[in-house]
Amino acid sequence: MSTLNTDRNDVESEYEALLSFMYLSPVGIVRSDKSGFVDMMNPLAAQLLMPLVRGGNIENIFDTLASVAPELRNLVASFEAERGPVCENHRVFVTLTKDDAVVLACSIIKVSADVLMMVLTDISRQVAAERRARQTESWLAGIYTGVNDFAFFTLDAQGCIDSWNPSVERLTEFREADVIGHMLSRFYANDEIVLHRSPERIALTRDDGWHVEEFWCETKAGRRYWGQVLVAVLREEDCEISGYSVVLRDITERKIHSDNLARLLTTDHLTGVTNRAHFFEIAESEVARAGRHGRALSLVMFDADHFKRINDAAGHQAGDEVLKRIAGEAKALLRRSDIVARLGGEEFVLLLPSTTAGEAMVVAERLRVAVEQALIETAVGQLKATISLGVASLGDETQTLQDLLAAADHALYNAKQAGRNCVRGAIAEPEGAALSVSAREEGDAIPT
Amino acid sequence: MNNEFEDVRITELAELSAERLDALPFGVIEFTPDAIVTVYNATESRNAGLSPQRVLGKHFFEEVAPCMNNFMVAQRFDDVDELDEIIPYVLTLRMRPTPVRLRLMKAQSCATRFVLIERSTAN
Repeated sequence: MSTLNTDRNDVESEYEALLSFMYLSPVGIVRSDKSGFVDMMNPLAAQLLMPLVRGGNIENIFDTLASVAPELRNLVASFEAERGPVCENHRVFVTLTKDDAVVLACSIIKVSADVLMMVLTDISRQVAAERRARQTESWLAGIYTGVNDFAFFTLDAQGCIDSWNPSVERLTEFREADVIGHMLSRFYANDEIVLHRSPERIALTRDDGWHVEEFWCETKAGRRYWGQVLVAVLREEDCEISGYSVVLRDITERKIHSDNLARLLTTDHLTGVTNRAHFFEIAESEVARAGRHGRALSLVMFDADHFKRINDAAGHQAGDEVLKRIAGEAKALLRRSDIVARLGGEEFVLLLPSTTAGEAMVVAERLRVAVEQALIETAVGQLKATISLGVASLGDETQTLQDLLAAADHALYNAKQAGRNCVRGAIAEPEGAALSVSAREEGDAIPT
Repeated sequence: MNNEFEDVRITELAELSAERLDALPFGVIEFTPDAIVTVYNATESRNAGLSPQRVLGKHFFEEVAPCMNNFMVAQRFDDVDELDEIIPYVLTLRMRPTPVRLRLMKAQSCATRFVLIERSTAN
């Protein structure tokens, strides 16, 4: 009987068929040990991960993803069960822009104490579709929900309120004479005015045809409520904009329910600052806003010096404490309209609206000193840490978020080259650097 | 001979016989402008565990090596007319992540394109 020979051929061709099946699998599959060292992976995983690593090294999956999803290592470390799903379709935002953003869905299954299987899928198209669907949904919600919650009114082409009806008084308690001729900001709570200036909302509406936003409002008597506003363009037959129709509604209750969810989706789990995905959403619109109005905007990129050394010497948990403290010092220093975000690993960024390069240098220096002086309590004793910072501002050479990030990154690189624990600016600006910080706080208080 | 991977010219590759190509110590894949594989040498076949019959006539980036279907490799062939670059890369030969060097070759004087694959000496 020649079965032995046939079997051998069958095994070989079966093996090749299996290989080919794995080579062409349309999702990325990675197997690693519990600390992330990769044992097997298929080509699609390599295709998705290669752009993330310099010099082509994918030895450790957590290191490979650290720049965009530092939380994965912690998720796995804090998963205590012997086996089971660690995360399912956890979203990893790989690129910086809203347009053609690259987003991966990552699922990790703990197979046994020391074996992890990870599945990576490119969901960029799905995320883009969701973004569009969300906009449509909030628009439809505005149409379908009961009319009682709403105030309807219209604005003229300049954005001033030019009509009034009883629905406005029912919701806002303002009478006709209180609102006619005023801007939308009439309805905002006092502390919202800095962030939400109605001319800007009008400009967004003009570009897109309609616009939905949510913010704190206040009734005439002073009751705060979370308001959702939908502004749509009214056009004449010649397509000239003749004004805007506005729907304003009180959705406070929904906000309270969704706040917890929103916090989970927008903050970094470890440090509590804004996470990478949310940062890019905010930063894009802040850059566009500053560009439209010719306002200053600065960005400070910074990271912990010798962080790997801290992790190696004191352990990951002590490293985490250092990151938390750095984030805490940054939060303590900032205004309400400033944003501090964790971009990944030990890398953070400050977004400073209405702040010139010189003013941002002052803020960066204060943060550098605050971190240098901090005594950080960890399980292995008190630690000290320093940071290096790079500052960049909007200007002729830096007009987009990408430009800003690249310039700040370059300045940060210069700070590292200069010996760390120092601040470097993207452009030399000796006079600006002399500006005091109090000038910046004053500038902020001026309502527009 | 040691630097054949770095030195060999695209015109020379295009002229080599199948036997000579099979004898080269690095992987050679030749494909047409629409990415159809025309040469898959013995070294590459051995490393990847795929027989030439399974690969020849297939779309290189879509059907054979999706791991190179990104801006670092496939896109480079579309972007420029003349290409001769060596890049470090990780391939998943038999699902084992393997550091390699890729040499991407394209010339206006040559009707076909080449990817050469050299496993890093460290391995």
